[in-house]
Amino acid sequence: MYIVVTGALSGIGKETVTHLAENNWNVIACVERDCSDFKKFSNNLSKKTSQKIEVINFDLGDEESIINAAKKIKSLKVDLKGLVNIAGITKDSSVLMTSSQDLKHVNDINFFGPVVFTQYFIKLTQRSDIAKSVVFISSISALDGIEGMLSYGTSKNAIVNAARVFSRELGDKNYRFNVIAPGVIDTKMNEKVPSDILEKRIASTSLRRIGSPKEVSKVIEFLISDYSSFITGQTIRVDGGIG
Amino acid sequence: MFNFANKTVLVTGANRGIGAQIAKSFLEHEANVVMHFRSESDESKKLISELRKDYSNQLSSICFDLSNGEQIKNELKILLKDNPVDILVNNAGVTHNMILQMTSEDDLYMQYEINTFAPFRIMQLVLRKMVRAKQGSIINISSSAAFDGNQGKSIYGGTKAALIAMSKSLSREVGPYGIRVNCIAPGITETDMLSSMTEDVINESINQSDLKRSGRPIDIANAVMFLASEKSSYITGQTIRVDGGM
Repeated sequence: MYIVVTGALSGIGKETVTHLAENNWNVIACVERDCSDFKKFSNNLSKKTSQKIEVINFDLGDEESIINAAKKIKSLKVDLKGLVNIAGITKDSSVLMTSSQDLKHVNDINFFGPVVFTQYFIKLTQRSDIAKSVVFISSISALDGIEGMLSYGTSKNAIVNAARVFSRELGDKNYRFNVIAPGVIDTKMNEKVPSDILEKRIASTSLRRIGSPKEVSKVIEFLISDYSSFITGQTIRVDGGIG
Repeated sequence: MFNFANKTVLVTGANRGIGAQIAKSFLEHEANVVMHFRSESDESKKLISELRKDYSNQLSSICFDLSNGEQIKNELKILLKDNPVDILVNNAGVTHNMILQMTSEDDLYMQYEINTFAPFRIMQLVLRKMVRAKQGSIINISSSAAFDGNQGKSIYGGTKAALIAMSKSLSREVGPYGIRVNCIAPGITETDMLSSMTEDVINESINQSDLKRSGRPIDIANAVMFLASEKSSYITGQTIRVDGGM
């Protein structure tokens, strides 16, 4: 069975593709653009794990592109077990310096894109007997309100509510929807965060350390699996105990 | 998904329902399990002898009355003298469904004694060893009643909400030692405890849930194993509702 993973190019997405393959799942890895390095990575992973990795390209900011991706997935004629919406962007700025364009753009990629793609995932799978699970990656900034994260935080907050509504409407149709809210995770997204702020955030965790992408992937694996078959509509913080 | 080889788990209230399933699930995933019972009974003896058939080397039991602080202390001291406890599951609980105006003080104290004070006492003792070992995972079984304000559960809900608040503070205190503390909040789960609710109330709750079904003890046990395992290594101070979306 296959799991669809968006944002597979790097960070949590790439680690999730790896972790799922290592744990006997086939993966449809979604990246925005065709990229030879990623193809090489997925071929190697496929050989190493003996799992199938299909790579598809599409732009979450473009509905046409999402529709084409859904068509490609349909043409693969494989059993779909789950969808993990990881792709996202961030544009940090203070509230007064945030342009409406940036606000819209971040919400396009982090909120509208995943919602529309999830709608298509449901259309593709609604007739299958498989118990499906969808995971959205949000952020603790969606729940805590972090300075400089107006665009990102609002988009990630909207996805929490979307998941709740999806769960309400489709819970009795063999779907579960859950959200993971990661805290400070060791990815490129931290590159633009000043080091003193990063240190302060890490110090505020109960575990006193940064999280690894793998630690998020392991929670994704649990939520995708039937071990979590009675968990739906939930948001789980994976933050080492910030909140 | 899970492997608990060389880990020792203490599960309170393991004689039936969710507790018995938690113990069984951990045994199936290779843990050493110490099953706690209030006292030796026909029920506990039968369960132990059944489980011993497959897991004789992994299984032991301990008896104490959760409303008796002295007993808890004495029995746990004996257990902890020779055994590590890597994973603690505070599962035992009691409920007396009753509207607030009709609740006696005895019922009030008894529910807090078993559901809140006993986990406090057990954690205090077990943590001495966990802190020294610089590792451990504690899972407290709370309830959706801690959040939802169900009628007739003013006291029970309060005891379970107190457990969540206690767990959260504790997670901050012991996090630096690599110990994680989390809660599970089950919703409607198929156990004897359901008999305290009328069928109408149960059906209404199920119909309002997203999955439109009640939970099974194994659903709760799976979530407990997740929080006990390294799969949740960056999760602490959290409460996961395992309730089918209520």
